Amino acid sequence: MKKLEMYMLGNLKIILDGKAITDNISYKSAGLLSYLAVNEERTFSRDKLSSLFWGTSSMEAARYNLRYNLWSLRKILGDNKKKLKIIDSQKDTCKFNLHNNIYIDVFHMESILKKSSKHDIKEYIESLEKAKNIYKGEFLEGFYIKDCPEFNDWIFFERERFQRTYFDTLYKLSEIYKEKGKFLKSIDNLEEMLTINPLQEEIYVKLIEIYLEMGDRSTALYQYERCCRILREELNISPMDEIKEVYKSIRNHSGPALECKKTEDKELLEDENKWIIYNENFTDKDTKILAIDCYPIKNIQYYWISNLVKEIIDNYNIQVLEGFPKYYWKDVYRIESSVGRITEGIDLQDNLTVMTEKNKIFSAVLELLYNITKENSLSIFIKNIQWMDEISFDFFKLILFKYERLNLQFTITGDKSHYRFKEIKTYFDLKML
Amino acid sequence: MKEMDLLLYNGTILTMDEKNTVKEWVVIKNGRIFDLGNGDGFKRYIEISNEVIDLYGKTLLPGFYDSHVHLVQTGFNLLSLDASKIKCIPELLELICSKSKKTVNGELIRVIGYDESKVAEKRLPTRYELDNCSQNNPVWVNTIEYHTSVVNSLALHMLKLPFNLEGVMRDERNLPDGRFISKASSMVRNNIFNMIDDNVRKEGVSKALNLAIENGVTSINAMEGGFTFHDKDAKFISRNKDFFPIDIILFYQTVDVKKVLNEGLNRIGGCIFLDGSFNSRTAALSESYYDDSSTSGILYFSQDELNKFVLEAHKNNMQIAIHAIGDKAIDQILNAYEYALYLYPKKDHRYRIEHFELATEKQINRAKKLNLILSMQPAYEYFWGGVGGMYDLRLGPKRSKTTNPLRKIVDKGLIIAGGSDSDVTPISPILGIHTAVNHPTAESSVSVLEAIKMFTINGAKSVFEENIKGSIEIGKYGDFVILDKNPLNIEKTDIKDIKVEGTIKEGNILFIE
Repeated sequence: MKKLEMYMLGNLKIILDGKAITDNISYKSAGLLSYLAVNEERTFSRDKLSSLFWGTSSMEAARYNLRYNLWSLRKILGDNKKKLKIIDSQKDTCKFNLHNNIYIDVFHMESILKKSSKHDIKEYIESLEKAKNIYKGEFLEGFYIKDCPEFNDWIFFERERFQRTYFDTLYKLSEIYKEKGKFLKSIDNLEEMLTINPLQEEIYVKLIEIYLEMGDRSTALYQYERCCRILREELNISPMDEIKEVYKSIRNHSGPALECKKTEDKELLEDENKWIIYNENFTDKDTKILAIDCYPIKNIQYYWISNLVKEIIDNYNIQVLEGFPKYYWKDVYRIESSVGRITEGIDLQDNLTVMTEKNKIFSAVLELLYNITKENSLSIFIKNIQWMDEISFDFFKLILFKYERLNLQFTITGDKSHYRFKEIKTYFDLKML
Repeated sequence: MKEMDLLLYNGTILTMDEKNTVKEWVVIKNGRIFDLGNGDGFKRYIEISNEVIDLYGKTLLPGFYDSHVHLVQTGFNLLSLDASKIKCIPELLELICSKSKKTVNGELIRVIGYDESKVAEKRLPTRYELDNCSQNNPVWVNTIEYHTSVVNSLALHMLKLPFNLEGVMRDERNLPDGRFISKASSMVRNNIFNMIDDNVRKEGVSKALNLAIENGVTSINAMEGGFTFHDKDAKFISRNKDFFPIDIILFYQTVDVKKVLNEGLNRIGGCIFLDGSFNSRTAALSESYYDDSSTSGILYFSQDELNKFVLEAHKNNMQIAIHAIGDKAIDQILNAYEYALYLYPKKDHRYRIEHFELATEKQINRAKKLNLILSMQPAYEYFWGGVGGMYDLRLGPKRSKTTNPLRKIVDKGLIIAGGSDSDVTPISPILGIHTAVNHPTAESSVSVLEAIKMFTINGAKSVFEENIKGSIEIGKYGDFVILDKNPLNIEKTDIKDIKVEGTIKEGNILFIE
């Protein structure tokens, strides 16, 4: 007997003794063979099969068509009277004989999953992986016979059934890999689940959790944004509360919580220990003093720099400020509108990227600090540095790295357990007053 | 080739310049207005003009702007079967059957405007009913406002929907029965628009543009892409913008600023839906609906999300336009604009609110402070205004008197850019002007000149184009519309019957009767 292989998870492929015969079989015959094969345990009446595939023809024509298609199938498959037949057709009935020399992928996948057990985790993973690899695509992908509604509905039904099985397999794999710390493999399986249905918020939550466990906060954040974006574009909705909570926890994950709970805020505000970041070049003579505090404000980037600039404009002589070049003022103007008092007619119609804009602002404000500390030294007090917005904190560090060129010294207060204090201590000479 | 492209004389030319000057002739050279005037001055141009047109006293206006059009969608709908007047399901099936016979196998048949509340059976057709009238074409039936859809089996087969999608309606065998709501309806829509070839877009848009041209439109703000639409639409417009006969100014409907930057565009928004519509009771109100006290509509964004998006677009120097219909949604967008402009002040931003239908006096004042542009659709009042109209039913007698308060907005000195929201109302500036003048709430109506401005110079201002378009002045584009009557000289109730007799774009006659 010849060896028959049928692959139905994906595009239909029929192989006989190693030779592809899919194209030798008519479309309806292929549908008939698939239907009989998947329902191998059932014996069908010929009437049932004729109406399933030739429902719009007369009963006589339908029976003839069925007889003809069965004959041509048996011929191609090499079923002859003496040997064990693949299709066992009697006068009124028809049945598919599933014997050892026949391989059908859907049964293979099902039997692997049926036999798999969690007792031996290594074996379990192996069988899940095997099952996963058998699924090459939708059941009878692209297969549709017009005028055969019942047959098409059968395909729809089976398609969903196998997709669900595949999906469950992916889910199990992602969970096991996650448990075992094989994060990338877990991610692969979750991504595959998203390919099937990209609107599943719970999968994004899982991705976020894994990236966080890997310590990759920025990719975790990216997954949140990706989820927000797809929900907005496809459904015009915000993500569910659960994922928003996860997002909040990511933001708190590495410390820079811009939101603090009220009680904490109060305690921190009362923590008045002052720290000086020493600058060897600082000369404490004719010193100007500026106090620029930080507040628990969420999401307003640049606000601290903006306040710094405003304090400078309010406290310095206008002649000194007017001597500062206009092309720098233009960039300072991007974040602080009181610059308009110094210089007029600034046109900000240029189209900068966010990065370029940031660079320009940083270098302009730094230049401004060089300028004003030429004559007088400057002492800047900052309260609650843990609340400084991220961009301003970047700028603050930039000043510290350029400290030796400035006649400037910072005095700061705030939550000393905050990571920002640690960061400052790592690089600079920080002393309590 | 002669020196001048086109001379138009013996007309009533409402130039819509600062002083609302009226002229009699205009001459165009290289697509731009070269000269214009009264009396005999035109005679020196007759011999040197390629084309000379006697207007026989007809009225010439600057080519119209339609400041809010879903152009690709309008085009698709022109290629679709309209089921809005269907009375029973057999009638619908008959319509699809006869279309199917004329359609190439495999090509999508799309039905729009089906309203189950208006058909005798009070239900949607089933997948099998649709199968009976078309086996060879995927069929997709959309209800009004696109909330629900039904497909036949072939379409279901092609759509490849995931088994775990929410909103797939199922029969007792647990098989998809062809009807989709909520998430599934959105995904179906997306998948189908994704399958539609750009040649179909081209065919639809070309039909839509012909309609626009016949209605005197020479500049369109196309609101494309995003939710309920498709990004392919926006990309199609963006990549073909130089090949259209009239000017298409694209607003990309997305909150993904990077995507718009990558497409090399500087306008974002359009129908970014902060809320829904009055008809489906999803426009967000501060008080509940008159005919359903259990709901006051839906806000689709949180204030934080909106602020974040507006700020990002603002910082990237984009012109922003956002859909807000109910007063609660209008509050939300005002908050977001205030937030961004407070943090990073910018003078001539021309940020817009689209629709602005139920704006309160306070909100108009806030809009004035921000110097926003209001992109509004006066013709809504033509279809939904007045006693017994949709506004009246949904909002009740008191609030329906405050819809589309054009007068108050104009009096505040704000700019209203007029549009159609096609395909919600047809592309017809004449109908827009007519309704703005004949507003069902008399105290909200505006003068004829004010109404014309909405569809000409204000349209230009709303997209930074007032230096080149929007009025008939030397140096500006030779974009005109010829009308059979002067809207300033007829009974105001007859404005809607004015006929567009010609449309000229940069001196080229696109259409003439």
